[in-house]
Amino acid sequence: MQDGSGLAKLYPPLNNADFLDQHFQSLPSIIMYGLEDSIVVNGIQYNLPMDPHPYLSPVEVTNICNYVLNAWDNDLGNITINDVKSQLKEYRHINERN
Amino acid sequence: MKNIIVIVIVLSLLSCKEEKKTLPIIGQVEIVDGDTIYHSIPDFKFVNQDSIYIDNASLSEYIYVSDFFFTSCPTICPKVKKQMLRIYDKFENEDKLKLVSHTIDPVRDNVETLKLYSSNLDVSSEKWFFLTGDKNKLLDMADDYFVVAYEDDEVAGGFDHSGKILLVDQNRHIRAFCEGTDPDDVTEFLKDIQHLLDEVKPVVN
Repeated sequence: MQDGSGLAKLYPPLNNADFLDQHFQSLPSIIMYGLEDSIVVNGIQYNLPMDPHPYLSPVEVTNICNYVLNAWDNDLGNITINDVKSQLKEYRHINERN
Repeated sequence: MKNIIVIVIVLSLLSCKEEKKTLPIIGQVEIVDGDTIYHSIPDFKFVNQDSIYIDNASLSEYIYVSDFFFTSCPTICPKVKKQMLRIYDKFENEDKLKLVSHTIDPVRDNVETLKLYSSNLDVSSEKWFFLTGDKNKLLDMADDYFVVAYEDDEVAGGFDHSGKILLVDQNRHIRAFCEGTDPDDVTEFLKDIQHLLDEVKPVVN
């Protein structure tokens, strides 16, 4: 939600999330290609798959990443559009699988 | 003289507002053979997250709040669900109230998926029904709740829909609604729910 708190065990939080801290570099491909596997965030397991967002442009993905990384209490630095582009290219196979 | 009449009318309207609020019956009104026919929720039969059939009779003794969603919705559903959970939490011990969420994507949202969803939301399946069934019947049902819901490959998630939450009384009439994406609107809606509960519950002296 707007405050980054997530919702129960359905949607994990983005604010103060250890997962985000640890998987900083995967954020662009998670947003673009979604997630099938369950993840553990702050000790709670989340099983609901996240759908891909293939209609987003690399610029939009970069903006979302930098917002999430620095919104609320988060202070996780920034990601450049070139990082995002190379990451999306590297994980393109995930998209083909979906 | 005219002004005085207007003032009297305005004052009487204001004084009405002070009294106990009766929620309107929402929707088109028809007069058939002198009888007033109000819009009502038609017959339905869907299955819930416990594989139990839920129909009008299952809800005839309750008032309920209703919404339309799908579990893989990437846009407004999570926001609306947060507000539905707010309603659930506020009225968790209120026996006369149920919550009814209809999926509009029954191909993906089968009983198993809805069960997982409601378990993860940590809510009672006795109080909050997640319904699935025939897709066309579910989409038609949305019409009867004045909710926009249709398949559209052009939009994120594959379905275009509105995030309204509706309040239905024991006579299948819609009595109030709010925008589930707007927390302030939901705050007002919580009051409407309490008004309807006060209306349907006999006063205990």
